[in-house]
Amino acid sequence: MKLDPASTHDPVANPANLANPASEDPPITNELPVPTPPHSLWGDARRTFFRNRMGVFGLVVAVLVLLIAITAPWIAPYGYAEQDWNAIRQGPSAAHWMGTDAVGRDLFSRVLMGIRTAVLMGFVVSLATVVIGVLAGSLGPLLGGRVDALVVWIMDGLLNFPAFWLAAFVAVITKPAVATLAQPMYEATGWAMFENTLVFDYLVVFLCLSLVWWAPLGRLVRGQVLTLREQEFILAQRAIGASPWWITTRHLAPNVLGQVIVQVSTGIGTLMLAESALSFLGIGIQPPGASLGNLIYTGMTSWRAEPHLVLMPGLTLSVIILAFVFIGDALSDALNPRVRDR
Amino acid sequence: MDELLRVRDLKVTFPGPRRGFGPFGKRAKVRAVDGVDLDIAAGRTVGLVGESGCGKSTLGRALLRLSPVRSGTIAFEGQNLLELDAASLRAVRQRLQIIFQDPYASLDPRRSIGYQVGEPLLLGGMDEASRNARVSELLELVGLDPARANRYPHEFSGGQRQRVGIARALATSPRLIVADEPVSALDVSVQAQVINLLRALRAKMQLSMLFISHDLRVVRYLSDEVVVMYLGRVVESAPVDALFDDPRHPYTRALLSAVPRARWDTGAAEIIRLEGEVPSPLDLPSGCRFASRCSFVRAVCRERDPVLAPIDVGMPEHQVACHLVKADRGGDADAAFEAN
Amino acid sequence: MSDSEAALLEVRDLCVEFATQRGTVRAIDGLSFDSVAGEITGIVGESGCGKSTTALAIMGLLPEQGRVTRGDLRLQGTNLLALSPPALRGLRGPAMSMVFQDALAALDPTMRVGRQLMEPLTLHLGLSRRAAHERAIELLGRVGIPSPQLRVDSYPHEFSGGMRQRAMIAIALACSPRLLIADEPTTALDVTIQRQILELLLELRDETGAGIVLITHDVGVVAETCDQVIVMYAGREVESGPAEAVLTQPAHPYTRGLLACSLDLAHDRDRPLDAIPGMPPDLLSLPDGCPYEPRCPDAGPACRQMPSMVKVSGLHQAACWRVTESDPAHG
Repeated sequence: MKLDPASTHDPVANPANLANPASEDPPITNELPVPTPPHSLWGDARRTFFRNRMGVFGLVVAVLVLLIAITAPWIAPYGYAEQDWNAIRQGPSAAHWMGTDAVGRDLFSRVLMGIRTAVLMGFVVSLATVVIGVLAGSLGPLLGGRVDALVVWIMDGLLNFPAFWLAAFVAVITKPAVATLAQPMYEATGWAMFENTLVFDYLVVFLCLSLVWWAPLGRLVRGQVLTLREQEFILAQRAIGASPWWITTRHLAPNVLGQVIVQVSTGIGTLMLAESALSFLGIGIQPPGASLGNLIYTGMTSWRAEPHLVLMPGLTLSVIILAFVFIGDALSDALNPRVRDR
Repeated sequence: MDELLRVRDLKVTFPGPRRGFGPFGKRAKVRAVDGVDLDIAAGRTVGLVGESGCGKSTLGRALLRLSPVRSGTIAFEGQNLLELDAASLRAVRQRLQIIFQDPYASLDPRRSIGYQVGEPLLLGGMDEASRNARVSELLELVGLDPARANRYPHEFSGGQRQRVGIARALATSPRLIVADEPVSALDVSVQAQVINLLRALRAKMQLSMLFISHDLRVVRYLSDEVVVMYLGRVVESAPVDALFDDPRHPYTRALLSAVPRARWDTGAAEIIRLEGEVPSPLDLPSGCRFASRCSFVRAVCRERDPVLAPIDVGMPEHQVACHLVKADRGGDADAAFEAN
Repeated sequence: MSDSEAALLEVRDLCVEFATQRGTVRAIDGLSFDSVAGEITGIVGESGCGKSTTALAIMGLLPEQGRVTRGDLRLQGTNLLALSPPALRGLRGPAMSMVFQDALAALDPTMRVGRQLMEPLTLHLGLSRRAAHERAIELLGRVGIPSPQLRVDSYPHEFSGGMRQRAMIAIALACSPRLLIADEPTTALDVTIQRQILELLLELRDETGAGIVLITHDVGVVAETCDQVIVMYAGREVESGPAEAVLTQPAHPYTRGLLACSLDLAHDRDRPLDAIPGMPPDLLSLPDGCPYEPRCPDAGPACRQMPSMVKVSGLHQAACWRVTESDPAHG
C-alpha cells in the first residue's frame, strides 16, 4: 500500500490526506517542549541508582573489592602461606599492617587472599546460579507439561531445605569422595593443580553452593515468565507472528532481567557469607587456603589475646557484604517498574 | 457477497477450576465461546457487543489463534485458519491484525516504539532502511511525530500509546483488524480522537474491522452490523440501524435501556431492568441462557435453547435467538412484549 | 446551595498539593461548592482533573504526600480541617462515608463480608454483636443482595462485581451518614449492573435524605442522576450549576468540548466527532492563566490570566472570560 504521495504529516494543511480533516487533531502533540534524548527504562534506572548514596557507596566499595581480588597476589606484601616464625602473634605494626597469626603468616596478605576467595566464590557461583536458574525458570513454562512439572518438583524440593545446611550437607558428603579423586587425577593428567588439595576445596564449595542456590532465582524467573506471558504485549507478539524463541529472547528476557539483576546482586552478599560460614565450619576452604571465614575460625581460639585476628577478617567481611546489600537495595529501587502518568 | 471472514460454529473452551480432590479432581470446562457464527464482508465493520464474560474478547483473539479453539472453522480469504501450518499462518497474520485494549500493557516497556511498530516488518524480512521509512510513514499516519520513534512507551500518554498499537497493527497493510476494546481504557476526549483516527484510517485503507466493545454508543457509531453476545452465544445480530431502532431480543433491549440517558430526555424508550446476575459459565442453565434474568420468560424458555433465526422472512440479516420472536409470529411477538 | 436548607457540605477555595519527586503538584486549586441533603452533586472530569482527590480530601484520607494547603471544609458546620485525627475518625461512618471504585480492592479479602459490615456498627453505634449481625443482614437485603442471611458469611471474592459494589454501599450506609461520597462507583461494572447500582443510589437518596457526591467521568451518568454538577479540569472548577443547565447549555469551552465528543445513541454516524485537540495537561507544568487555553478553540489574549467564576444565570457559573462577553447560551 502506498501512501498518497501528496501527504505530509499535517492533515490540517493537507485535508485530502484523511477522510475527515475538520476534526483531526494536530499530529505533534503539545508536550516535551525541549527535545530531550529518549530515556529508556535502563537509562532511568541508571539515573535513579546514582541518586542513591548508599548504592553509590556500595558500588565504590565493590569496585575496590574487585580490584583487590584481581590484584591480590601482587599487592600483598607477603605470600598468603608464607610463615615467619620470628613474628608470630604480633599485633598490627608497620611491617605487618594487620599483624600476624599463630604461625607467623601476615594477616593482611591473608585477608587480601580471603577477599579474593570471597569474590571468586560470590561471582562464580552467582554466574552458575543465573545460568541454571534462568534456564530452569524459563524452560519450565515454555516447554510445559511434564518438563515443567519436573522442574517445579526439583525447585520446590530444594526450596524446602534451608539452603546453607543443604549446601553444607552436600559438601560434607562429597568432600571425601572428591579428595580420593585427587591422586588418580594427578596421575592421569599430570597437572600440578591436582596435587594441591586447595583446588578441591574450592571445587567442592563451588559445586555444593551452585547446586542449591539457584532455586530462589529459578522460582523468580519462572514467576516472571508466567506473568509476562499473559501480558498483552506478548500476545501482540504472537499476533504479529513471532516465534516462541523470538519472543523469549527479544521480549521476555529483557523484562525479566531487571528482577534477576536485583536478586543476584543481593545474593552475592549472602553467597560470600555462605562460603565464609562453610569455611568457618571446616567444610569449605581449609588452611593454608585463605578464606575470611576460616581466618575468623582460626582466630576465634585466641580472640582475647589477639583480637585483631578475628576483628580484621570479620570487619572486612562485614563491609563487603554490606556494600553488596546496599547495591542490591539501590538496584531494587531503580529497576522497579515505574507506573507512569495515569 | 465478498466475505472476507466466515466463522462457523466456533467453540472455545478454557479449563476451569478443578472440582474434586487435589490433583485428581476433574477440571470443569468454561465454554467461553459456544457455537458462534460470524461473517465479515470486505470493507465492512462488524461490532461485537456484550458484557463481561460473554466471550467477545475470546472470540476476537481466537480469530488470531490467540485463544484455544476447540472446534469450528475460521475461514479468512477462503482459507481455514485452524488448519494452516505455522508458516502459512505467519503469512496470513500479515493480513489479519489486532489492536488491544490496554495501552499500557500492549507495548513492551523496554523497546522503543519505532522498533515495535516495525517489528512485524522485521519478522517479514524487510531491510532496515525500508523498515525505517515505513515506520515513519505509519507514525505520521496515526498522528504521531516520526522523530520520536526512538522513544519508549512510558514517555507517551495512553492515547498516544494506543496510536502506536494501531500503527503496529497497520504495518503489514492488513485487510481485517480485530479491535478489542481499543478505546475503553482512554479518557473521553482522547477516546474521541482515537475513534476519529480509526474512522479515517478505515476509510483510507479500506479496512474491514471487528470492533469489540461493551459500550453500545461507540459500537453504534462505528459499525455497519452489530452482533450481541451473551454467555458465549450470539443472541441477536442485525444491521446497525435495525438493531438500534428495533431491538428484538430482551437482552439487547435491556442493554440499550441501560445506556445512561438524561433525566430531562423524555423521549427516551422505556427502561428494562435486569434482575440478578450473569449465571456462572461453569454452571450453565438448561434452555435459554438468558432465562434467569429475562422479564418475558416463558416455560418453553427453560426447556429448549433457542436457535438464531431471522425475525422475518423478508429480513434475513436481522437474526434473533429467542423463542418469543419467530419469523412467522412477527406481530404476535410484539404483543407478547407489549404485555409487560 | 438552595436558600431553604443550610448546606450539608461546604467546600470553599480548597487547595490540595502533592509533593512528588519532580516537584509540587497542585492537584486541586481553589475548588468551591456545596452539597445539599437529598441532592446528588456530580463532579465530572477526566483523569488527573482532581475529582478523586477531592473525595479523599473531604474524607481526610489524603495519602502522605498530599496536604490541604488552603481552604475550608465544613460538614454541617463542623470544620473538618480543624479536627484531630481521632475526631475525624469518629465522623467517618456516622456523618460521612465513601464508596470506592474498585470494590475488590476496597474490601478486605480475608474477612467475611458480614464482619466488615459489622465493624462500623459496633465501632460507631455501639451495637452488640448479635444486633450488629441482624442489622448487617438487613443492610445487605436493603442493597439488593439476594439471600442476605447466607451471603453475610461469604468472602468478597465469592461475590460478583456488582454484588461487591452493593456490599460496599451497604458498609458505607451502615451508620446512616448524612453525606455519601461515591468515587466512580460504576466505572468498573457492566452497563446493566451499572444501571442497577445507579438506581440503588437514587433510591437510597430518597429514602435516607442523605446528600450524595457522585464522582464520574461519564457525562451520561451525570445527566441521569445528578441534580447539580461541577466540571473539573486540571484541578480547577471550570463550570458548575444545575445539571440540566450545565449539560444543555454549557458555557465553558471545556464543557462544550467534553459534551461534543461524548457519544450518545443519537449521534450522526456520518459526522466525525468533535474531538478536543491535544492532551490533558501535565500538572507539573501548568500555564499561568487558564489551564484549558492550549486546547481551547476560543482562546484569546485575556486567557493568559486565570479567569474567575462568572455567573451565567441563576446558580450556573463558569470560569471563562468569554462568558461576560455574550449571553450564557452562546456556542
